[in-house]
Amino acid sequence: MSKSLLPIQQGGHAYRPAKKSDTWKRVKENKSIYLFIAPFFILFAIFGLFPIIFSLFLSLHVWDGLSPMKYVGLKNFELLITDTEFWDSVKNTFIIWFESTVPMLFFALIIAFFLNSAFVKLKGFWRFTFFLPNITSIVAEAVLFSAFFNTKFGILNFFLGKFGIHAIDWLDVNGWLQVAIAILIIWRWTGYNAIIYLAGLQAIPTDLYEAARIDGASTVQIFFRITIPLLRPIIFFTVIMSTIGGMQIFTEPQILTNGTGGPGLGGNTMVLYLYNQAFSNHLFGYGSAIGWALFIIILVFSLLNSWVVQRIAKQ
Amino acid sequence: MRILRPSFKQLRLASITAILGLSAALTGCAQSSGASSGKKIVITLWYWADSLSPQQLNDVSKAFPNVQLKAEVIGGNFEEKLISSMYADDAPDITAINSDNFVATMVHDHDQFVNLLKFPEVRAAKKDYLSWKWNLASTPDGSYQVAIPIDTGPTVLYYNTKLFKEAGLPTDPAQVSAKLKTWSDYMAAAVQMKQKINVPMFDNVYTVYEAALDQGKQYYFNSNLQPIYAHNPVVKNAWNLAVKVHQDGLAENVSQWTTAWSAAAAHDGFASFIGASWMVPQLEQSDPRQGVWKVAAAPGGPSDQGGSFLGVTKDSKHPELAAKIALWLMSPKHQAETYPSLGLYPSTPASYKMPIMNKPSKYFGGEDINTYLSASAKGIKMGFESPYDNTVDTIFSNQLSLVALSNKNPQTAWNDAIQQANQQLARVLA
Repeated sequence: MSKSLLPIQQGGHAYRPAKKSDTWKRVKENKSIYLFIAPFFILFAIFGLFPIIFSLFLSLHVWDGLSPMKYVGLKNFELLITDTEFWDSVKNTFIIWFESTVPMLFFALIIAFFLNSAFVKLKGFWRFTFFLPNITSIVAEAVLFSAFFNTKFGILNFFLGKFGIHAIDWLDVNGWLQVAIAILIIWRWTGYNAIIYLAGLQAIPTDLYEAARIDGASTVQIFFRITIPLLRPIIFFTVIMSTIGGMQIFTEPQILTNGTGGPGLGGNTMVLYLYNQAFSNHLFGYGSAIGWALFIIILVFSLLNSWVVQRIAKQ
Repeated sequence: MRILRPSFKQLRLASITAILGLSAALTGCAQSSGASSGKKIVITLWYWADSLSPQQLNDVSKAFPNVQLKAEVIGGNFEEKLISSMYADDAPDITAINSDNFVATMVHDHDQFVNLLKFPEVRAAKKDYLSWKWNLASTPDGSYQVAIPIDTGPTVLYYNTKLFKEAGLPTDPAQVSAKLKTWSDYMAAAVQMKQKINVPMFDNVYTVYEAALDQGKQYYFNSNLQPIYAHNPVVKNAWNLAVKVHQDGLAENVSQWTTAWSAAAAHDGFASFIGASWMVPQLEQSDPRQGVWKVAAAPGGPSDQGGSFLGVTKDSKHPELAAKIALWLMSPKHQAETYPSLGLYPSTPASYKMPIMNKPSKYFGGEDINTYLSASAKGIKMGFESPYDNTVDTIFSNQLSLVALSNKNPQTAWNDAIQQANQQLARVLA
């Protein structure tokens, strides 16, 4: 039996320095395995790799989708650098990212802590309820929240009015629009992050808590001295994921402003701007140029982010 | 190894069939149109919900027994889907085109369509359609016809009779039309309305801007595609009028197509607005009260706000047949029939006198609103619409909203609008 397994092992090993002919030989020997993984790579090549390369090509052209493409070199990038609307969209994206991520992760942690504590009943129900906004239809959310934030007849301003706060023009004034978008993001994604935190909390051994209780620690002390330090890797994970997601904010401003980014363009994020230039104004070349600028910005920011996170982790 | 071999073979077979199946599925979805089923000729048609009558689409097979019409309702992103299908040389035989500056784009790229003037039936039918509407779908020299008109959007004044009465203004449509002839009459009435009962006359400044702009004979570009928005007095006058409405506090600041607008309409939040024929269903859904609103002639004159077209694409294998079907669908009789059911206002003047279009409306207190709609449709004088009008219009309306909602300085807003429009055009024409 062990002898008969040998050919497979030979086919599967990867220790020998690979020569070209060798590689192909091994591919041929294991072609059924390669066929199995082929669908992913074929689909990725068609729907992932090709668009990436094509967008680089497009960014050097002016094209409305129908007329022949016109090669313009780096003109699109030149226009982009002086495009105030684009730089405003970068600023908007960072503001909305900050306004949403910080409270979102904070609330998620609190919710997860309570879901994990012994005194909360109906845990399954609460888990489901907090996760529900994440899987609710976007169209329903759009209707609900435009009514919620409505200046003159909205329920939010109605309650604020009860506290003597003057009606806020949520969807028309840049600063408030950004807060409104952040609130919508928090509403959609807090439950999602809470579930991730909950998984992390459940991995913390209970004897640590018991020991702390016996030593007379309060709930707040337990939270800050045991939960937070042991949860650190999970927190880093959610911070990085929220950063990547935050740079690509699109859906929330799109549904709240009907795709326009608001009258003062305060809700015009980088991706929304890309979408509007490419698909509303039919500027596919310029849209591609924005896409590549976005790639560079996200790359730089992610590197910076991981550098900061690693430094904190070492402390 | 002997033991394992057969199962590997089976797996290989399975994976090969899976991949073959996948590729078959991929190619299978690419081409379904064009092929004939049985002996009937298949004609595909793309439209969006409520732009054509489903009943009439069904009847095509009765009028053309050798045709199987495949009419497909295309959901969101109609324009992107159409452009993609054209680029892939797989566009439907017949497609609906929305006027909202997309028809101008299509006229610009007219080689994607069959020139309908090739067909004698179309040349003969041209006189049946409103000429300004017909010309929106032809090249500036009139030699290439991209599409046949579906509906139009003649504008009229919608006004709240209850508020007009309280403010001491006339309520009878004929009297209102006579009293509010020009924009200065309308503004004077708005001031009177504010002083007497403190209700804004207008829903928002953008409606004012758009109405005044559309009444002009020239908009943002001339027919050589040269930008004229910075100097065109029509644009500047419309802008100044909108700014004045804001400064005098005559607008309620609710945008159309929002719940706020509906609530304001139903609770006497504003007294009037200039709107196209397709605002009728919108108004009926917003304010259920019957006999409160009425329709009169729009102050400042008639204008058009939208309406769609039917074009035959170059990918059609039966262009003449497709053109005949499009003409049949858009005959004066058929257009008149869709008016009561879908609220699409016909582009064929012969429809206007048909009884089906002239029923007194209960909602408008027994008024036959077609009197003013038809007068508006026939009186329209249209200027040149460019493929970039929408882009520029969005920039101007955004700046206007900033004036109205954030108290931005009107002069700064105007300068910003011009500068942004110039920037955007540099990208378009790069």
